[in-house]
Amino acid sequence: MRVTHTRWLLSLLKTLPVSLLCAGFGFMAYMGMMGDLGYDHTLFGISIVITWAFISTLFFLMVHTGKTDRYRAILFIAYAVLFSIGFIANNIANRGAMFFTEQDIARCEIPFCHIATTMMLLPMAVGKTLLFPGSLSAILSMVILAVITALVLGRGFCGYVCFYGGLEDGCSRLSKKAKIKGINPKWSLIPFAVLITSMLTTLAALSPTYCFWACPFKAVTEYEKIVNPIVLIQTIIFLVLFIGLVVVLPILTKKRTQCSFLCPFGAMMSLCNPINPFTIRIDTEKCTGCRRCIQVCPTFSLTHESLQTGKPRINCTKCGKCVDACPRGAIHYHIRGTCPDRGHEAKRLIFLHAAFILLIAVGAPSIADGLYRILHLIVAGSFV
Amino acid sequence: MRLKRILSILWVIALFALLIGGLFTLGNGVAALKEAGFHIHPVYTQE
Amino acid sequence: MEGFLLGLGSGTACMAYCYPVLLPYMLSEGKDLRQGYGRLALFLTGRLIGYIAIGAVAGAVGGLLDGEVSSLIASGATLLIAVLLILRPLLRKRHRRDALCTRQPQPVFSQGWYFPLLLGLCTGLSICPPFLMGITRAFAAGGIWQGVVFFIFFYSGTLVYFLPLPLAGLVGKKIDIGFIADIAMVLMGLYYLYRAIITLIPLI
Repeated sequence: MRVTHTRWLLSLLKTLPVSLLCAGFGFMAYMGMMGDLGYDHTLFGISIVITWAFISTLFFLMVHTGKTDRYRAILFIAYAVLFSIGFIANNIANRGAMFFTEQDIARCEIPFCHIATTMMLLPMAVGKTLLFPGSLSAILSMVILAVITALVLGRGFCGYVCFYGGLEDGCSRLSKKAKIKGINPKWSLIPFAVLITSMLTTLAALSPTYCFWACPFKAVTEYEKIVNPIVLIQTIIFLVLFIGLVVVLPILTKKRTQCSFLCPFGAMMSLCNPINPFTIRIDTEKCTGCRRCIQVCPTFSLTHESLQTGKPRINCTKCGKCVDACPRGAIHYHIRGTCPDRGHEAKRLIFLHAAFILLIAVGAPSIADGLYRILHLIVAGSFV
Repeated sequence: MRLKRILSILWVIALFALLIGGLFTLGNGVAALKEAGFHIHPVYTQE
Repeated sequence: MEGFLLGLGSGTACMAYCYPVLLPYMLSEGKDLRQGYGRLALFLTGRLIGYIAIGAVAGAVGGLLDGEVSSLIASGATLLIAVLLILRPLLRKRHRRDALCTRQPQPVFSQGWYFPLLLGLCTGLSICPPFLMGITRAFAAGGIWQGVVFFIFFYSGTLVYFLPLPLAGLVGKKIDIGFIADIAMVLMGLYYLYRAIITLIPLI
């Protein structure tokens, strides 16, 4: 009994830093945001408290149970859904519609997202210029955040901070068994080709080509008003990509297919994985070759070769699914340069702290905003 | 091995410092980039 | 000297126009540096031939070509670039062993040497803005010989920006860069196909 109490207390203590950080951000948001956005004081306060409790509880459970992915997934999926609700509601409140027009482009009023960062880097390096019709401050903030995230988490961003990934993560968990199996992991190299192509074509066309032609998430954020055949074709493409890669294929394969086969930002983050200290290691002596980890990995980051070398492929998102799934406990979080046999739990916690700091900074406002919209719907009958 | 471990701990500490420092000084970073001349391309800002 | 400096100054625009065509191709063809520079030399030769062809026709008719005709040539060249980029990875048999593994010196101009030459020729014919600027200044130099010399120096100035390209092939220890580059070539080809179609439709 005493041991149990001590364990609980220790887990609570380990949760405290993240919980306090979340509370601090929430307080700052409460004091700062309400006046600017005209939010209802009470409802916004409630949504912030729920956000704080939600994040703190899930972090506590991760710490206390030693399991990562099942609690990460709950948070990640809720974050993606609430982000979409909040984003669409804000568009309708500000613009009266989900779509944007050429006038919005001309006024540089298009919101920027992290995926577009990939297309900004070459023009920034070559000419200190940003090829996006948005707010200069917002874009520069996102670019700085992207660089920080790349250094701190590498592709861990895709497992904890991306506000789109939760949609596929959720869809990939809807069916019990995969209907399509045996996909060759080499196809998960396509995002690198998309990254190269989108960077070069953006420079050639002076326009963020991936955003206009290939981004599937316009289906849950905003899209261009259909005024000519080219925009119609672009709309059909993004709808097909969203339904195919974000909904249908994840259900059939139990994999995050958009992240694995398309996203250029994920490719960019993958390139930063080799210079990131946080990674996953497989204890090849404990491993029995059951391949359960390869089956469950959502991004094709583990292969037969990984079981022999003990290392995942470059595109590992550090989601922890393989760590939780391994029946022999042979897979652990690891910090490069440290002894691979010791301190597994400490290393996992250090990584989770880094991931949660970013998640709270980037994601908590979106979670609170989405919750606020839902509460507003319940109380007032509308999202806006 | 010991040196590697010390370096990797320092690496992690540096990253946390970058993370927390970066988040708190984001506004300064944006101002510095604007000062350095970063701008939206004229193809979007010109009529 | 003025021509060389102008070429040097136009380099970033040259990169914006030529890198989308050249970079995926260089990445897909392997790590051998000698072969990489060989391919680059062929591409640049093709590009120069394209420029000379346009320049010669312009000189013969006494000025830059009429807007519609030059648009037709540029669109046709862009369409050809698209076809080349899409078909090359689909039709080429991928070598099972990387050239570096064989320990034998590889020929500088490998099998399929005509491809970069053709690609360069089409890029030259696509009449990009840096070329337009260079040829306009060449015409204004006063006299055929002065124009030719000016353009040669202008072209040399732009070459600097192409020199690092073959080094791109060295990337790819941790990932299969050849496969990635093949996909990039097809995607780039689709982009050029779109560009060609939207410029050809108003002309037809």
